[in-house]
Amino acid sequence: MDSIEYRNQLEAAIEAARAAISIPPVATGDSDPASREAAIVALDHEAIKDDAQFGALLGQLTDPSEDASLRFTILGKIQSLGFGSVSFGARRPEWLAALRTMIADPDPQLRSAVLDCLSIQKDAQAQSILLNGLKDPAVAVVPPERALQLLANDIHTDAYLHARNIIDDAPSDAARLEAVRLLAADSESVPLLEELLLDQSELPEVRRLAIAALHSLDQATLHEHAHTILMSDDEHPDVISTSLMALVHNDAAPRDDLAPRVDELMDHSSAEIAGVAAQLSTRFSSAES
Amino acid sequence: MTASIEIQFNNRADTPYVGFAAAPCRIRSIPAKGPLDVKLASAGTVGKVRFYGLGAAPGAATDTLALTLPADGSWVSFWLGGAFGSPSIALGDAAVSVTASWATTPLLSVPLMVRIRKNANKLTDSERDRFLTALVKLNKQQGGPFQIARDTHAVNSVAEAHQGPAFLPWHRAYLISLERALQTIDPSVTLPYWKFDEPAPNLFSAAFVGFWTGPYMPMVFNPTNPLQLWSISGIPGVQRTPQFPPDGVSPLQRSEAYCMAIGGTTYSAFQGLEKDPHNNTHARIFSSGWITNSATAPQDPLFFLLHCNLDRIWAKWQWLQNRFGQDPATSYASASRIGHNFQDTMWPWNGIVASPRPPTAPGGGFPESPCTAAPGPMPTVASMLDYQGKVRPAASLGFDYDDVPFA
Repeated sequence: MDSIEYRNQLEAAIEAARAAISIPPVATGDSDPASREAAIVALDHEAIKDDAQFGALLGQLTDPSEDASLRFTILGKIQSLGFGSVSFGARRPEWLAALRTMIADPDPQLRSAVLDCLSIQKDAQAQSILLNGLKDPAVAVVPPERALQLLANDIHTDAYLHARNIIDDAPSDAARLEAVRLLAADSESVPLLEELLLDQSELPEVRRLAIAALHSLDQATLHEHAHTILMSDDEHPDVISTSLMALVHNDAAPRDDLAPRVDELMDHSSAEIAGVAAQLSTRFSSAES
Repeated sequence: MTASIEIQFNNRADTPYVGFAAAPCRIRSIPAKGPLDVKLASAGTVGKVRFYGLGAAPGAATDTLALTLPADGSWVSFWLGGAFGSPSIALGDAAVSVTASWATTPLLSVPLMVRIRKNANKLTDSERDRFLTALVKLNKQQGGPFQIARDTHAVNSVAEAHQGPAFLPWHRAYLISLERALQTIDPSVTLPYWKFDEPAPNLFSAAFVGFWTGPYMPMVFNPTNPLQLWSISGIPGVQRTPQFPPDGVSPLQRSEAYCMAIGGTTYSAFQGLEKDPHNNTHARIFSSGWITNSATAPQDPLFFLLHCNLDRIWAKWQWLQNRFGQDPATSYASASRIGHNFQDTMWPWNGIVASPRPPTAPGGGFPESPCTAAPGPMPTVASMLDYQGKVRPAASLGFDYDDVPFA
């Protein structure tokens, strides 16, 4: 297609979009959900700057008797208005205070989204509540795997002990996985991660996460274990793949005695494994040249 | 004695990468018995090139170019760019053949790459994996360019890069700086874009930026995906909860045509896309995750693909409206804050840490490229507009999009 034809096509699409633009309804005080939602969506930055408007928004957001879907829209809209906003800085204290009142909100989706917003900002109150929930599941506001995910936003919380306890006695596979993920930031967990990696009775997902964790924590140790795994004839294909990838990205080049095995893996029936093996084989060439 | 011929793309040795924009090139022969008349043509299997004449500035595009190589071995300058619609997949799938005027068989064929930013959902497996491999390697460099990119977009970038007309130019510079860092690892890599008004099931898959099985579930990566090793502060994984299915589009998402329609013909209207779709995509299309907060968004690889799409929409608007900075009144908008005026240098690359600029400036000057000298170590807002060198050829920034022509 030549440029002129292409330009004509684009301009036609733009014209069609322009004709289809509809002006959102102005809020008339209607109480039906659709009108109220449209009014929220139509808000602009003035809603942050105006004390009464912002206060009213927070009031609706934090009111558990309000429609949950509307509250979710308000949450997203305020986050959208606040994204990269110079003027939102002044609103941040009251915004965080409002969110903190929602940590135990009756709506689970809102609760999780609010905790996410607070955890990303390393809010101490949110962290404390999440840690208490790991200590005592009776007071937990989110499932343990979600709590661990959220606590991972700040590696300085005291979550490592809870994560290790969950690995020993996990309420679910999901919780165990998140516990392994969190321990990737804990240098004292290297021996535990090694144990998980080398245990062939472990879920492959757990062993792969252990590889990813050791990739962050201890490249040299991972190098040795990945080498051993790849030399074995009796390993899960997913663990082989992740071990190959780990050596592609390891600080140290693979040892020469691994080369014949990598050549074999390049003929693997799985095209994906063969592909990563081919990537790793180039590191041998670099090592030789 | 047989003539031997050398071509330098971008007028430099060992930089066989061009975009769609006309790039300065040169050709010479080792002296032979007399001048040599030759014809240059595109000879690639995938990537194709066009020629923009001889001399000091590019002319009209042609499929071949005839020139005479002087007997004394001096260089002959010419202009060349990728053919719109025919980008490369890898280095060497594009080539320039040189054929003597009396012959039918080329004397030689010189490989290059028409290196273009592409739709992430349409990348080949090889392109995708090369990009992810380079990105994971970059992230692994402690204190390296990726850490600098994260630090740059944290709190201090709010006033410098948002809520003002420099939003688009600043993020263009930000993307280029990351892309150049990726190209030091693998020069064939470009930043792909997430075309967020279309379904992108290949992008939102376990082979690429991750697949999700439910709200607040961790992103799943294939055992052969380099992103399974992605970590932030040592913790592997990506936190992201989309409000749309992996093979769908959020009903809240604005179409590209809508952005253009709202944007009109002047930048003062067009810059409204910062609010929508930009802010909405960050904070409403996703209900949680790093991408919902400006300080943590760069922790998620998807952030760069999101911004690459915004930049592409701007580039397309620029092409449609011919707004490359030749008239700041229509190509740009007036500003009231430092860092947003047309000739302001941009933080952090300007290194200025005195008020009203932020108190720190991560990284150093703007990274160089082997393919172009632009924009220099301290880019201005203005230097981001003429990214294809249409007003001033030397201003070309060394990138192009697969759906934005040069000519």
